[in-house]
Amino acid sequence: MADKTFHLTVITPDRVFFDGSVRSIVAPGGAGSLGVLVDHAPLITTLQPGKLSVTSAEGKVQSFLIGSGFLDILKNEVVLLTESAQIDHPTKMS
Amino acid sequence: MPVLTLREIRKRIRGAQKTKQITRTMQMVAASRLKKSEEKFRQAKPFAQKMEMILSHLQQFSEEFSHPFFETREVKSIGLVVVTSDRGLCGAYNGNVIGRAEEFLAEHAAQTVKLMLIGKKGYDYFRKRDWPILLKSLDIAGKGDFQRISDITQQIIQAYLSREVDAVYLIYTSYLSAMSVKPVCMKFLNLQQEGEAKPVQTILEPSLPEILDRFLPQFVTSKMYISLMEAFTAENSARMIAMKTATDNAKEMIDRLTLQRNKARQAAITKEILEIVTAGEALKG
Repeated sequence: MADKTFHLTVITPDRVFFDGSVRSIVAPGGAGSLGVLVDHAPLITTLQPGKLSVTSAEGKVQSFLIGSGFLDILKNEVVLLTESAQIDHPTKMS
Repeated sequence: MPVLTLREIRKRIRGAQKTKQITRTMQMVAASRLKKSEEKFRQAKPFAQKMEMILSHLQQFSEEFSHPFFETREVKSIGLVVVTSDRGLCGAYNGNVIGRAEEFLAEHAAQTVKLMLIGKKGYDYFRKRDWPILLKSLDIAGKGDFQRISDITQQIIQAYLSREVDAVYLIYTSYLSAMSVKPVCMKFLNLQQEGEAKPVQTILEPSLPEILDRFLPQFVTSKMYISLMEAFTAENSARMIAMKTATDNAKEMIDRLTLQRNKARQAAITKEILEIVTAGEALKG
């Protein structure tokens, strides 16, 4: 169970931002924050601008800032399309 | 070919050399731009492909599908987007696109065709003619600014939704490889509904109309973006080839003129010797 992963691609209009195996993601869905694990039911949803956190296959947690977009889940293929994406650098102030 | 004096030939060689230098530089510039825009085009592809994929996933709900973008209207007026370059010196690139557009206009003489022009060359051509120009956008070539392309697409969508036009077609240059570019005509709006309902049960959040409302404009924008990227790549490749041909022609001209110059010089020397010899003979006699 622990090493169950699915494939995530994060794509912006000008490049493929992320492409790899992940264990889980938490995305800012249009209808509230949305967690995705392996074998999620097929789903299409809108995304709000916000923080996307990704737990990689090795268990490392990465955090990205994304613009509005869409999430498409079909049989462990998760595609996240967004206007913009960048790595979230946690600032000391917050 | 008229007989030229030695000096005239030299002048021409110098001219040809200067031209060659310029065209070669332009060829180099175009080559590096081509590399960049090709890369951009390549990287823009996955987004457009995934957009298509999501659309096809959404289409499994075809029964409930109703959105103005899919509406079938009686087509009275057509918006025609013509993508040309802003600058010239790119061979037949613009000529081909405009030729294709003229063909389109002839085919659709029964409807009102309103033009939406992207690129200065197309605008220069069509503003002297009598088709209404709905919108024009100059100076975006090559920059590939997503925001600006998005703005243009918004305007096109507006024109469609306000029933200013009932369908939108796009004429741009497709780029298969550096050697193979050709103008193509593509239906842009309304969208064609295709594919029957597949039995995959997909959850939609928040709801289909809301998703469609946000997704479809994005989808259309992405289609526009990728088409423009492709056109810009084709433009650069056309320019590179045109400049290469020009350089080659200049080279050929220089070779020919050099030969002519050498012959003329030789003739002049021969004539001079002949004169001296004749003069010497005359003095002796």
